[in-house]
Order: sequence, then C-alpha cells, then structure tokens
Amino acid sequence: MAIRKSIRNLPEIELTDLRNALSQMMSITDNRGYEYMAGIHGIPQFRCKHGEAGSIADPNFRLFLPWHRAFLYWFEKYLQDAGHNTSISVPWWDWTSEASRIEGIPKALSDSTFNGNNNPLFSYHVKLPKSVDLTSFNEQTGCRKAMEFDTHREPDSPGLLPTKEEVESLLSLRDYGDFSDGVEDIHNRIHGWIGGRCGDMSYVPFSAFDPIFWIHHCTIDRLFWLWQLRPGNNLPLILYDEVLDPFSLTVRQVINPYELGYDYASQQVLVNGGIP
Amino acid sequence: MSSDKNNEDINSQIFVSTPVHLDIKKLENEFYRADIEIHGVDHSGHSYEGRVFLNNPKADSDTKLNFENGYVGSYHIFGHGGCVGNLGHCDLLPQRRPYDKRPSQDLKPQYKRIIITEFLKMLGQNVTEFIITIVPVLNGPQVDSDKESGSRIVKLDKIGIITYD
Repeated sequence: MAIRKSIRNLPEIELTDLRNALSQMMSITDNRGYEYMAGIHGIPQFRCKHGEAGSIADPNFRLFLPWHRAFLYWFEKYLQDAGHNTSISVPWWDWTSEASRIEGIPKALSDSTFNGNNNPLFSYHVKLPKSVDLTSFNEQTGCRKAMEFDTHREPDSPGLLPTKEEVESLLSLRDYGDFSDGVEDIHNRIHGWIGGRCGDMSYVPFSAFDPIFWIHHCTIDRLFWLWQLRPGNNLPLILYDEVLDPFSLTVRQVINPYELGYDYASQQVLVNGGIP
Repeated sequence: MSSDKNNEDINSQIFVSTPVHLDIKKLENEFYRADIEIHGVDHSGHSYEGRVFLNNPKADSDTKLNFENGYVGSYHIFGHGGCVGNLGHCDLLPQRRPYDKRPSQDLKPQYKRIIITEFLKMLGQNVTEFIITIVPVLNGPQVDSDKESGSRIVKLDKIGIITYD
C-alpha cells in the first residue's frame, strides 16, 4: 500500500526517492514517460474531464473527480516503475495550512535546484509537437509561449489561498453534484493562483506539464476521499459503469483507493521491528 | 426565470444581465434553495475568476466582496487560452450523429451555479427584479480587465435564478 503524504512532512529520503523517480520518468520519451502522461490531459490528447455539470440530462453527471483519480493513479504507477520502488507515491499539498498561507508553494516544489541538480518538482522542459499552433494562444492571452520551453509559475499572494473554513464548507456538502462542482471550482482557482497570467498551470493545454500539477491533483483527490469517508456520501449510480477514457478503468473501479493500493496520511514514521 | 444576454456593454468586460423578474412572495411554496444559474459559459479563452453580484450593476474589480455590495460568490474558469490545434480542432460539433459514442468535445460550454438561498430570501423581501453582474478578474498581476484588449472574457448563453421547493 502506497501512502500519499503531505509534502511538507515528507522525510528527506522519500523526497529524494520521489525526485529521482520523477527525473527518471522525465527522461523516458515513450508511452511510459512524463511527456506522454502529461499529454493525456492537454496537448496533444485533450482527454481531461472538466465542467460537465449540465452536459447531459442527469443533474449529477460529473466525471471530473473519478477521471482525475484514474489519471493520478496511472501516473503514480509509471512513477513507481521509473523509480523501481512501489512505495513511491505522489504527495499532496495542504494550501490551507499556516505555512502555506505564509510562504505559498512549499520549498520542495519551488526550489529550482536540490543538491546541485535541477529540481524535477520545480519545472519540466517541454517540446511541443509540430502540429501545435500557438498563434491563437499568444494572441488571446498576451503571453509569449514558444514551441520549446521550461514550465513556469506566477503564483499569487499566499494570503489568497483557500482557508480551512472554505474546505470544511465544501466537505460538508452532501450532494455529489454540489461537492464535485465546489471542489472543481476550488481546483480551478488553485490552477489560476499558481499559474497567474502566463504560467502553465493556468491553461488546460499546458498545465499537466508542470510537476506541481500532480501534487495539486493529489490534494484534490484527497479531498474527494475525505468527502467519501463521511457517512452517507456516495457517488450516483449513473456514474458507476462510465469508462474513464483512455484508462482501462470504470468509475466503479476507482471508487475505493484501497483497491487501487493507496491511502492518505499526514505523515508516516516506521521503525525497524527487529524481525530478521 | 432567465434572461438572454442582450444587455452587455460592448465597451466593457463586465457582464450585466437584463433584469430577471422574480417575486418570491408570490411563489406557491417556500423554497429551500436558490441558485444563480449560468448556462453555456465559454472556457476556450482566458482563465479568470467571475465575481457575481446581485443588483449592483456598477460593480467592478475594485468592489469589495461583501453582502452590502451584493456579492454572492465567484466561479473560476480554467481556460484553454485559445485554440492550439489544427484548423477545426476547436470547432464545436452541433450534435452527435446517431451511433456516435465518443465523449463530448472538450470545449463544450460549461454550466455554473452559485448558491444564493439566504441572499435571495433577504433581498427578495423588497424587490422583484434582479440584475446579475459578472466581473471577470484575470489571474496574475491585476490589470484592469475592463480595459483588457482582445476578445470578450465572459461569454455565456443564458443566466437566471432558479428556486427549489
């Protein structure tokens, strides 16, 4: 069972393992690699699910949360493969913590280097496919995006991050549609908070290339699980057999994280029990 | 009750609806919930926060976000920033053909709602017309989105108020 922990509580050795696995994954250029995984969300595949409220007659039809759970699970499996370590997991970032509301993005993600090397949690070097035409993007946004670039962030003031009260208010919603819409909105807000005007996190086509994307979605998935754990909260049956394209999983198969081999914790400290 | 998008000031990025007529005292049953519904919200362009105000058509990005100013909540758009594909990549298909089981196009306009139950119960004691204002605030350093050049930020199909009993 992989334990997804808060990034601020991650022991140094686990942070190093995570960085090494991520660096390795970033060096793989086939369908096990970072670029391929990120490309499922935006450029070039655009398979992500957002804002589906009202898209069909059923008022509770939303795939945003289960689709991103499957996506993160998929990513984590390839990350473990790259690191040759099945206990590596994606950490989460509590934006509501006192530390976050003072320093913003945790240093593990915002330091550009570690031990004299590039920090793979800080940025990723993207080479866009030749089929991409950036003319419209650059005209509409006023940003100057090139076909090859290092992802970057333009974070807003830490005091504007969501509060504990806002998160608790979300978790207290009983209706799945209300909760999904609420958590998706706060997710959109964090994308914008990190990306600012021209940072990659602000725009669907580029966001998943920024390594913080995975930590952000781990936070969202944790909120989803915390909501599920409250008595009486369930996903509507209409969703259960929906396929989470392009993953070979249905919603039913991702409802329970335990069946996907992970759980959440603030931190975990294990010591040797002495059994040889 | 809903209002068509025909009262936009083309010189401004702020959306102001035509009045929505709703007399809550005449509703047959007391409602337990009321929402502002926004249908067909475009998300192909900028990422932005849409600050929603009731009966404050003069609201702008400097307006304080409190009850006195009619602020009822915000929605956030995670935009595409324009089209990055080949010709036709971002064209919305009007309708799926029979037997077409593919997922819907990712730029399909979205539906947003803001829960305004208590606000409407209070405001509705005195008025029967509601004007909904959406002030877009772009991410990043604050530039006045009123003066933002380029295409319109807030694009929607219909907006209105729904009550549930």
